[in-house]
Amino acid sequence: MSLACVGLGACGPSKNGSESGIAAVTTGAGRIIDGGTAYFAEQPETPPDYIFPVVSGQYFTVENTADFQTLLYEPLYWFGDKASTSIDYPLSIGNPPVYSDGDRVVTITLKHYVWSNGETVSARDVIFWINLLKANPDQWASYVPGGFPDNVKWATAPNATTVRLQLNAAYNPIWYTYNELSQITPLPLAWDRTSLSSPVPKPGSSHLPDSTPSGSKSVYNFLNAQATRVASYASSPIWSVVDGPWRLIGLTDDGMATFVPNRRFSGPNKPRLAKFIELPYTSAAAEFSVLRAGSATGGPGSPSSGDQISVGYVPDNDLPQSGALRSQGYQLVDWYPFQFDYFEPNFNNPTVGPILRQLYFRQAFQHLVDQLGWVHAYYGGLGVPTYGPVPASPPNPYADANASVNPYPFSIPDAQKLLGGHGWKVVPNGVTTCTRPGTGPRECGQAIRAGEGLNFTLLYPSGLPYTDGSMVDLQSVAKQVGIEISLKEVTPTTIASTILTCTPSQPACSWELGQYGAGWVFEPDHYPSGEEIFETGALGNVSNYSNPVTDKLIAATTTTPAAGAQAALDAYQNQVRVELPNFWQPSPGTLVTVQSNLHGFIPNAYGFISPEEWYFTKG
Amino acid sequence: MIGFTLRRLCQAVIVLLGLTILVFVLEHIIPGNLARAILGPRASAGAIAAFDRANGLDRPLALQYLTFLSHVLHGNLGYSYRLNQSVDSLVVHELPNDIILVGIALALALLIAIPLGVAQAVRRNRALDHVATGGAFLLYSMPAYWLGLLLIAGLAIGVHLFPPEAPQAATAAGVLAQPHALVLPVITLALVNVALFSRYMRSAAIDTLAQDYVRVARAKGLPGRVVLARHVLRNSLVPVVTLLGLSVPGVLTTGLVVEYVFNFPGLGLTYFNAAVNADYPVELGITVIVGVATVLGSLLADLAYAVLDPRVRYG
Repeated sequence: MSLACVGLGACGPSKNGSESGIAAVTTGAGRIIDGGTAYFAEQPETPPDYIFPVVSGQYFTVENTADFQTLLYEPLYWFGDKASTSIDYPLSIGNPPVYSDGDRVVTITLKHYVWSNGETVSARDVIFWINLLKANPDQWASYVPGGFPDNVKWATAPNATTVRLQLNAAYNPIWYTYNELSQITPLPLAWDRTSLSSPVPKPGSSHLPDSTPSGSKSVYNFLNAQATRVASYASSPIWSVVDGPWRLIGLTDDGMATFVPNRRFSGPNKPRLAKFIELPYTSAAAEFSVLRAGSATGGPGSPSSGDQISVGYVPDNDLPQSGALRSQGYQLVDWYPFQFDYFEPNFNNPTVGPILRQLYFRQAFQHLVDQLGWVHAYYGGLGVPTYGPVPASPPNPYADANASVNPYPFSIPDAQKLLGGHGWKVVPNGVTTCTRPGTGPRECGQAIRAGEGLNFTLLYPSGLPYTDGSMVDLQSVAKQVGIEISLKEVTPTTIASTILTCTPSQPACSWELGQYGAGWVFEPDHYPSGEEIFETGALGNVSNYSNPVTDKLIAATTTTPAAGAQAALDAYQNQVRVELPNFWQPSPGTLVTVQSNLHGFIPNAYGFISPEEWYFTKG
Repeated sequence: MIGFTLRRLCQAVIVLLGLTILVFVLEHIIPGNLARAILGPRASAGAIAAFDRANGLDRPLALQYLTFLSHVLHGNLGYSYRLNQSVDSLVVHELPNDIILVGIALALALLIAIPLGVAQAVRRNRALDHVATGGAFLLYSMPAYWLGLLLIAGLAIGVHLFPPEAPQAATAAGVLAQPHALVLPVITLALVNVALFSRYMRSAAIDTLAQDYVRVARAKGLPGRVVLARHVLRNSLVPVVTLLGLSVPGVLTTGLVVEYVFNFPGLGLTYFNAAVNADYPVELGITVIVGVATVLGSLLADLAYAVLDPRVRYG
């Protein structure tokens, strides 16, 4: 039997401190004031509108999960506090999990937390969650066939504070904790019912509805139906049972959510604010107007909502005006989530797929991506380059030494050389064509015909100024090596319904190059392994990339015991970094505005907010 | 008259049916996978199938349409699979906002534009006319979006005279209780319409002033003010009234920009977002509402013409 210390936080401090530079921004002099109302700006037209933590894809937004549900219902493990990319065990309900039986059994013990109805957060509440997911996997946005909870053979609660999971195989304990246990949110037994009129279950009740798959389906249907009554969230006997630091007292149709502290919150960070309000906006421009016209000072006695935003954001279009906000007194904080960004080649496209499958071509194309130039010219300086699947920024313990080295730096001559060296006649400002077809080392490659030109259509989403600028730049640069790119700007919804996994014979495989306008954020899977995006057939592998070597390395990241986990992760990231299953591009950040006398705001690496850590000062 | 009314009602029903069929079919022939677009790239095949089943998207298109029609006839406009609320509740919540905003703005615009247009006509090609014409062209050529931002920059950010947002109250009464917050959005909408209405009013008044009956009225010794009020003003209003009627659907289109800039949730922006986000139930529901309003307005106008002019009934 082996026992593994899981999670870098559990084994000692992480090797990369994450508070430097950020904490200093939000730490100021002055007397701490208990009370006051903090106003938080929601992203445009994305109000919180789904409260049940078993959330399906259409409601799986940051605004519903990280900005809303987790304030009310604590996940078993809390991640990302103070920009760290590790588990925050001091802030978690669960103690560090213990793996045994060759990493096939996980034992989780719970700290003493209570629900707002006075009941203890128990092991049975964790089992309740697992039962709901097992019976309703298609309603859970994070469900991956074969993943959690499919990989749990059985789950038991030997006592009120212990959960034991028997897994179907041996897994890397770090991976399992960060990517699978991370998905658990204990649910109160008060929810384990199929109607409002049925009796409220009590701890120790037997034969609860979730004990059978059909019962769990009925419970899910009941809770999902309750979750459609958005206007009644605040008064609901279901949703008012919380274990998080906050309690919801109001949610308008427009999405204004009002929270007050949960006086029974058992965690260490008890809210200091008297109230926390999330404000809806119809547009980023409207939010920015309030920032500019509003007060940069908050706290008790300050103006009401509409006149101030305690924590807001600078829209991309308005980044040049950030100096004006600083002059008003706002603190400005960069927020980079733990993510990497990319755009997709379609390896299965019947026309250009054979070209995109050539590694030399992908290398040449990557040389045309001027990441540093894009950050400077189009991202307003608010972006970090991406060189591989494990980003170097924010600082994290997973990225190896190569993560901050660009294997394919911006170089038009290098791109020309790669193409010319593989049988292409490079025609700057014309169309480069294949002159040496064949599969030899200096030939164009399999299924590429003589005379075939380099023409691509690239889909990208509207509404993102930095994407707009960078794609036009790419088009212009590519032209210099004879690659013709037709840009097609479409709505994000069109992107999402067009850039899909496909086989060459399907009509849906007609897209050639595309990008979502959003990177791959490691949430709710916090460990930067690639099984959901680069493994053959993975749901997120929309580029249809397939490489047995990569698959093997990915499998190693999920199954290697803890002692060898980092080596497995290094081997994977070094392979994918140079293999280019997609094209790397900079990850944009967000410039957050914080009122001058509000403190405690430090960006979370996974996008969560923790207003219970915020407080106002005076003087 | 009864026969005429019945005929027009039948036509109205056919137009509405045609409208809903057209929008329904157009939405469903858009390429791409709707469930994938809504659920995101990581959605499993099971999740996509569950979504299609839950929303009836796995059934033949004709059946989907008939179900939609049946629901509409029972007062159910559908359910937004992005906003987690019924289209009915969206309309009930947001339409009053639009009516208040556009209503006040149009009233203000008319109060300014009508006397201004008449004054320009009376003082044609003089200083007032030139200044007002220049101003009208300037305002009319300025996008409402830009005008709104300018007003915010000057009056909200610059001198802090008005808030940059429209009222954020949840009810119509709450909105009206914050008149100072209505000032900038109302001015934005009103100024654009003043430019439009005043140009029409000026042209109509110039025509009317040249009519014989106006000369006769003057020749009879009626004071100028009385001639303007009784003869010129009333007869010049006809094109403006027509224009006003045509601007009713503008509750959606005109309001959209102001809703966007002044953080004022309304149907226009909801409709726009539904179109961008493929939220078909919302798109269809609002289309039905606007379609019914437009057809009813047209029907009422036809009936009014028929009352006023018997030739229409038998034409």
